[in-house]
Amino acid sequence: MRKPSPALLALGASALAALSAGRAQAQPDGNDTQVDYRYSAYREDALPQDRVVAGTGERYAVDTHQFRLVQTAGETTTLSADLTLETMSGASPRFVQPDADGNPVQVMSGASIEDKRGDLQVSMKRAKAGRSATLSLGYSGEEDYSAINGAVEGGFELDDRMTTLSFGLGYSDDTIDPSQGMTPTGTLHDKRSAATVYGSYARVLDAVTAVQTTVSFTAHDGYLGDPYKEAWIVNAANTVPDARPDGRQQVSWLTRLRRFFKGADAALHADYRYYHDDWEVDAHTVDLAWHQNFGAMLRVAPGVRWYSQSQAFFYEPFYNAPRSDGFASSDYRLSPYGAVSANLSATWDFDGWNAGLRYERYESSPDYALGKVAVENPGLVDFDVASLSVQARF
Amino acid sequence: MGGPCELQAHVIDGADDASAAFVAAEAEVRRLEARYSRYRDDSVTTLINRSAGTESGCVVDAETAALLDFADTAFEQSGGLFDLSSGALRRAWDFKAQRVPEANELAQALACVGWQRVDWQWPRLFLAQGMELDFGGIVKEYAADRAVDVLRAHGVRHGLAELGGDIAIVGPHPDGAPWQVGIRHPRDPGQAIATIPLAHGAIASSGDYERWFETGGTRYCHILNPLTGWPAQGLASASVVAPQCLLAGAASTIAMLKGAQHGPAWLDALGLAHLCVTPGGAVVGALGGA
Repeated sequence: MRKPSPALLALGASALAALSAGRAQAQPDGNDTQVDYRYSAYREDALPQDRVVAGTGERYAVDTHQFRLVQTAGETTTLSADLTLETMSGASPRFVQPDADGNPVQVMSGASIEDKRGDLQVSMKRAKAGRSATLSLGYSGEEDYSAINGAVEGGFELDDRMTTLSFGLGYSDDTIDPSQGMTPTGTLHDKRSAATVYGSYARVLDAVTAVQTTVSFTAHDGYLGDPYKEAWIVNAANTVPDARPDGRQQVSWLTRLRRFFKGADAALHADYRYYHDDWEVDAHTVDLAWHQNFGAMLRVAPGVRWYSQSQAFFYEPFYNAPRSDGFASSDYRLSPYGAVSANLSATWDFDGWNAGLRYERYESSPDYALGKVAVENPGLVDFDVASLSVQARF
Repeated sequence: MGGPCELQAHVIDGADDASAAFVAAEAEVRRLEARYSRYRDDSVTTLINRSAGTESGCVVDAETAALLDFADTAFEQSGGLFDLSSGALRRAWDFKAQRVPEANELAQALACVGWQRVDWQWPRLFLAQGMELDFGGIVKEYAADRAVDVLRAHGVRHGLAELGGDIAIVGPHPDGAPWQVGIRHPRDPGQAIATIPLAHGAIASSGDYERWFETGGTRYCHILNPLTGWPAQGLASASVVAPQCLLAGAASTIAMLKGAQHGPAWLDALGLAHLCVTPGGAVVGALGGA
């Protein structure tokens, strides 16, 4: 037999390539595996020295390793497992007291905290003919805290196949055993629980636009304070343990819009969330991101987020006298403030692999809040988060 | 596939259950029929054609990408005669009405043809407004190859898959004897003009007998030249033996379009055994089998 011509070699090679691609396509044996790993470095800015008494302004640093395994078993079942391992170190705000001029200054936790947290979530989803059901279970543990949680979710497509309704129920049971150190803690052992119910409506408006709106309600019950925080009472010239109501009911309403722009080969993600709870906190979040494709392999997404909240009814930076209801908290997370953050992410897709980089800068300030903030909590946080991720599918 | 489909196999000891092999091979043929059908709303072909004229184009899966790569190679090697976008010529040629199109109708249809105008940037395909792709010219042959692949994966060693006259071989009879494959007579489709032994590889035929009409003493067949818009002339049929049916099918179509003078010579230069028949019934080329 004579030597094949270059033309035949070219044709034969591309015919063979088609056959082998077909082999892969024909055997989606229903057992696809996806593995993800993500590392995130979260770094809080040190507090300015003029806002801190006792100790440095050094704050939290958290390193997070997340592993995810998603396995499809047959056409209808998806199993997933998420493992998170975190290392936390640094100091956190303990209480706020007035300085000589009556301005609030932060007292930090003395010794640097070192803690590790592990969290495992597993879920099983079954989906068929536009209906799906998901069951999830999880455990989270650290030295002074453990929680178990479970959730069921269901979803179904309406006949028009443009509309999906889903609903879910979740429950979490938490146990708090604060580490005992130099300062007494607000509790020695306590429990809390949270029950969530939500409903969601998603609709494809046209070929390039989709909206989803979700209303969720959560009821917390039990010890809801922070055992390492205290509040300063001026007329007693002393602190009391952080004390909050033993129930909290939260409502949130999240609406998300996705619109693809063909000409630009890009998508706009626009989200708005309204939040209200019976501690009288009202919050608004606006999230905007532009997901720009560059070819089929690279996507770059710049995004901005704005957040504003009002204060909890019992919050004060410090108290002149104890409240009659006994509540006391100077936690900056219950204070009135606003925050803006900017983020940039990039993801690369190549033949079953995906790699991503993300960076976010977050700054909080009363200046960003919707209403006027009389007194700024000195413990408001600014931080950077950088993460990198890899994903493989096979 | 719009044609008869036949799977034949000898089952020997140690092979998987034959019925499972046939079921899987048939399922594979049906999968491809569904994926590349022009008539299904959810087919890859429909998705691609629907994206014509959009700036975002259409991202295709690995299998479709490989078929597009093959079509790209065949376009290049055939000097533009093998063209996945030539289906638009059907707008001008109505074989049911048996009518030769007017020059302006042909020009209009030709304006929507031309693989060189298709922007294929793996894995994204951009089709100009009005253009369409038709995998009909390759998917039957490709499906025969895939059916053979599936039969082999089920342990079948001796058998063949035939899809509308195109044949891919799993392997010879258990005693090593080749399959005897009849080549259809282009003017008497019930008769074989030749019988060739085939133990491996594949054979595919193109001919002017599948869909055609005659008017004014000229025979107009469905194999349309994407460069001129006119039907292939000069050969009544071309049968080609190649390692894959996909390759054999493309080569036989190209030979038909190249005609009596250049078609057989091109196949010779390529190094593929072939048997071409002129409208007068003369046999050109020899099939030595494989």
